[in-house]
Amino acid sequence: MRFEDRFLARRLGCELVEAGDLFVEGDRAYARTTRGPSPVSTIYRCVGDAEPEGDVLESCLGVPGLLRAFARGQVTLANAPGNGVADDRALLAFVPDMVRFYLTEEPILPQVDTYVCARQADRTWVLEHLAELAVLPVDGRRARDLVVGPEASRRELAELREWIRAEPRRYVAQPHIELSTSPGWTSRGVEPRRVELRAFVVGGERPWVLPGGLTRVALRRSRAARPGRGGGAKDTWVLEEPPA
Amino acid sequence: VISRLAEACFGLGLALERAAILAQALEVQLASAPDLPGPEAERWRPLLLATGESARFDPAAGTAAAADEEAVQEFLVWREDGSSSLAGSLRSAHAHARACAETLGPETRETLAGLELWLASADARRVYERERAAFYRRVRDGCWLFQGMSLATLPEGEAFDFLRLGTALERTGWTARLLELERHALGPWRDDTERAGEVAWWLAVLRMCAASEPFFHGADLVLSGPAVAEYLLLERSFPRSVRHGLETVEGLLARIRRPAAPEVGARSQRCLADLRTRLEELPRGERLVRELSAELAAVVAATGAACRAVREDFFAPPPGGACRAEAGAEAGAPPRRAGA
Repeated sequence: MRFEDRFLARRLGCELVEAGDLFVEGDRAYARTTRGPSPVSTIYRCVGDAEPEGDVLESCLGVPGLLRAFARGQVTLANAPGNGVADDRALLAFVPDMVRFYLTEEPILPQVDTYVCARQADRTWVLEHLAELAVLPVDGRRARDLVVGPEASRRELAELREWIRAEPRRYVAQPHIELSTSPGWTSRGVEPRRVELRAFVVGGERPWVLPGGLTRVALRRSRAARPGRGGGAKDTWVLEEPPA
Repeated sequence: VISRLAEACFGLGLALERAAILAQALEVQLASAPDLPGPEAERWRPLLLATGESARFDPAAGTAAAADEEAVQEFLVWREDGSSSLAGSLRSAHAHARACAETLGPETRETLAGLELWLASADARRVYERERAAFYRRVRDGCWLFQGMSLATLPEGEAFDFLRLGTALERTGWTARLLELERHALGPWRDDTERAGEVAWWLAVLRMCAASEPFFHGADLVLSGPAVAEYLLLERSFPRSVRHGLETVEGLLARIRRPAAPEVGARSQRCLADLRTRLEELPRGERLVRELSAELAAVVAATGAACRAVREDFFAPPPGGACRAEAGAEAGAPPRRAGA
């Protein structure tokens, strides 16, 4: 089990369990405890999207019958099957329209144009301008496939072109944005590194943005911060101006 | 507590105590062997019998190998084909510790991981070859360090209770096993000429149970079979006596079980009640020594049965028990949320 899973479980007051700790009986989910089976109302899955084998309602995460219990409303899956659609990067292209449709407002912050390769016109344009774009897989779990055009070799671009033609639905592209730099301490002394800020928004009746975030630091000469390939992170605080 | 977690804590307690006792027993045996009576060839066989490893040792090494102290130690320390050797016990303890890592603090985890890593290193083998007693002391001290640190640093709760339950049950069974050493060495028949040998074996047993100092602090105690047997079986104040172990186990089980669900843990409780009755009815004096073998076999069997009962009661709920457990759930207790 990962440290962050243990940490979050502790902070949230949840039991951290493995598939073998759970079972379903009479369409209800239980945890095996030292005091006998204990009813479980909500499950947050911390595992990857392994394809269940056989009857999908009988086999999920190694807990036979869990999806059936979920389908009958006896247990809540906080990240239920299908929730992953929200992580699909192709949705980025529609966010401004979603804001207008659901909130009847104009977006306050503009966002980077996103080209969905599944659309013929977008795909043609992306293939013509590949060397200027950052191409991302729609599946967030495969962030290592991110290709930054300006830093890719001819061979990498040729491969990418083939991938897009073979599976256009899997890719979106965005104009490459030159990131800001921040000084970082390295074995060669202080050097500039490209950084990007990840902000955190807390949902609820009145969503609010945390006064800080996580700054991800790119590797030397890299144009994008990719945690999967190294680099680093800095804690970031936004200092409030004292009241006048 | 999730059963898997409790089982890992319980298994950790068992395995680590087994390693600590085995290391202590081997060190004492090594130091005592020259003073023990009888032919040299028979001095290590009793330890094999007491540890219950004779049945595995003979087919693997040959009956005659019991005369070879190196072969016996190699078998009890390094054997790979099971978890009851010293190295196997520590590997098992480490595996259990990984399974209940969230219950253990970083200090205790690092202590155990360090000991297990050292045991797998070339340095451990070198110390074993050159300074055998130091090797045993290092393993024993490492185990005791973990036990002391867990007492000093882990929060009290059910998981910790299962860790202590495993330790106490293993210790209780081993005290009975080590008490059998003298009988294994000298047999049930003896006369006055064997008195010196008897004393040497009883002294070794006391030292294996870390009881020599506490035993001699007793005002009226002289070194004799009945006195040692009574002390190690019945002395309430000594933490390695069978009675103390039994009371510790009963206390822990009472905390783990709940009045609202008396059926949970009932088998374990029954096993312990049988053992307690047996202890209370023990004969004393010379009669105890005459009947000691049967009594000790009963203690060993009862602790084994209690271990199995704990596993059945708490770690392997019977299928179809959901409704039963729900009825026994704490009133008003909310259903669990879980991350899987």
